[in-house]
Amino acid sequence: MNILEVKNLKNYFHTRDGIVKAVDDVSFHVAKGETLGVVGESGSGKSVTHLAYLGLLPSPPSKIESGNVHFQGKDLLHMDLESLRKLRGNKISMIFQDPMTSLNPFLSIKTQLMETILTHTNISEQDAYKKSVEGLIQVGIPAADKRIESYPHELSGGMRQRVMIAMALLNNPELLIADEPTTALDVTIQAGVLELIDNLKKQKGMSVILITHDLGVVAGLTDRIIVMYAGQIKEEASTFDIFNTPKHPYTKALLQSVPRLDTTKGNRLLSIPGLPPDLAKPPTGCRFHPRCPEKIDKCDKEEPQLKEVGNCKVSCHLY
Amino acid sequence: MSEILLQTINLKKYFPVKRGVFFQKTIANLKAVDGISLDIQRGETLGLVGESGCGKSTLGRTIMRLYEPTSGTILFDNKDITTLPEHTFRSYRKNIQMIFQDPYASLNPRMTVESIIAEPLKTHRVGDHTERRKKVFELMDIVGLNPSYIRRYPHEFSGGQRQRIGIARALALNPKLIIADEPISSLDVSIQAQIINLLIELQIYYDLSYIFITHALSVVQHISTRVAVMYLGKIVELAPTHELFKQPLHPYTEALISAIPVPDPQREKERKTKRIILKGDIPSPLHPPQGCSFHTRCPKKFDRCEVEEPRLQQIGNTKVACHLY
Repeated sequence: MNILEVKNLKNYFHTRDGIVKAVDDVSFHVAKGETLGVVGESGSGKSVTHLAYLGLLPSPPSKIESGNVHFQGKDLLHMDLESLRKLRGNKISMIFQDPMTSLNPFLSIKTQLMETILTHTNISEQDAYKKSVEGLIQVGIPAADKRIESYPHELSGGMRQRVMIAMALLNNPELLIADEPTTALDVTIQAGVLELIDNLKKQKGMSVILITHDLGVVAGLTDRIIVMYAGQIKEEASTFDIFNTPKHPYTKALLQSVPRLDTTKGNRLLSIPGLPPDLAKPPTGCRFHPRCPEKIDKCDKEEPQLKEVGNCKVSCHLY
Repeated sequence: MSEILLQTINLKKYFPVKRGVFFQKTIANLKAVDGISLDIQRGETLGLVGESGCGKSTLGRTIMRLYEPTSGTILFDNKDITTLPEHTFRSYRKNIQMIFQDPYASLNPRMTVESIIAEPLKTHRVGDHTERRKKVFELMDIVGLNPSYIRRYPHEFSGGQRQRIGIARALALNPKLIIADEPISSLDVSIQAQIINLLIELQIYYDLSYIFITHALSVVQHISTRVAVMYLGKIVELAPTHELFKQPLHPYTEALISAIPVPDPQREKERKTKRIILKGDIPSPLHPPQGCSFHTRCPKKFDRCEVEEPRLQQIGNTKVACHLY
């Protein structure tokens, strides 16, 4: 069963420099208990897609142009604000990239954790406090009953991110959206945080959307991956297929451009020439064609559609 | 054998922590760099890795004498440059240049590309205006920037292009050593590869030595000849790159390498089961633990580690500071 279904979502930003097509006809789904990886570079729309259907983008300039988004059968795009607010932080919760700026520096951890619970459930403050402490213990914060009194600046980056995760999980969400949850952390701390998310997912059977630019992180954690480029999905396949038989030239190039620990040291990395396009003036045809090593005549004229090829979906004229 | 270009002997940089308004008293020292001895050979790349707060950037800046060292010696071409007065030191600084992490913050937004790249030449009074302009053209071409952009301002460039401007500026004085402090961390994945390739090409072309400071071990493995691993202001292991990654000796290095996710689902599954996950955070460098500074997180710790500080000792080609050896 699919917990989230997104169909033909378009979200544009109406700016002075023109219309920026940040999310342009994006469709995907997340099954129950599944971890979906969303990979792309900055500006590819990998975060904005999710912020858009959760109503977390300022409007104007942002506007959802068209599309359908259903969460557990409920239409998210035509829901009133109040019902949407009841879902966010409750059934759907989000971990943001930067734990330094996403916690309120004026409030203690306790206040912030309890607020999350009390907004969504009718339990006593005492019970909410108890649940908050349990939440901190669950994410491996030592001396949780003391630490809960601290303010964000008293905690290290890894600790703060754990507080964010604890907060996101307090109301037992069915869908967790983790946007670059470990990018601001050191590798040794990252390993712990990723393991934590994975364990909690298995225990609670929740679905996870993991947004990242780090191909190593998605390799170990996800079941399925979508690769985004310039506001569109370029490829969708199982994690195994993405890494072993990548189809889209962009996916291939991305995989070859990262130095990796497990391969022998080479002298040159394959690099993708040029820059990601300006989304106010995207290239005609396939948006990747100016940088594509396998470009054919058709590419700069006709826009490819996402179509099924074997077990994958690819948006490329080569298939 | 290759010759030593730069050497540091027991280099220390302490930042005093002061209290009080009028009669400031030093109440503690933050030991950011605590007795580092290492050398850089001509033409090699020394990778300097560690987690945030381990002192790797401070070490780089102390070698440049952007921070005055607290004690210890820096030898460049066998000459002690630690205590040279500023005006004499300037002629040495030409030989050591730096590339910074943030290409947005390290370029003056009010200067054109030409004046940014030509500034080191101006400061060191190299050439006249036309010669300098010629040099700027040449440098822009070398780092892959279109020389017709010479009058543009930094905001007109992307992150990767800005980093190229920073590299061109670092190359302007024909340095022998470049200290690159996280030069690719703020760039997109597809752009990172472009910059890494450029740095490798420049190294061959100019016979440069690099100190490559980063937290990304996979990049270090790709680019470095040798790697020094730092923890709380000290080197815990220093080894040739392939040996360090094949057989790390220090438990910290081992944990660091095992923590890196590999972009391959099959291998990741195997690695995950063997992954060493360190408990806790890095201790505050204001109050480093007694004995070995890593003992609070070390999975292989024994009694001696809490009491006695291990010394850096030679084992084969590797130097390691650990009581296990």
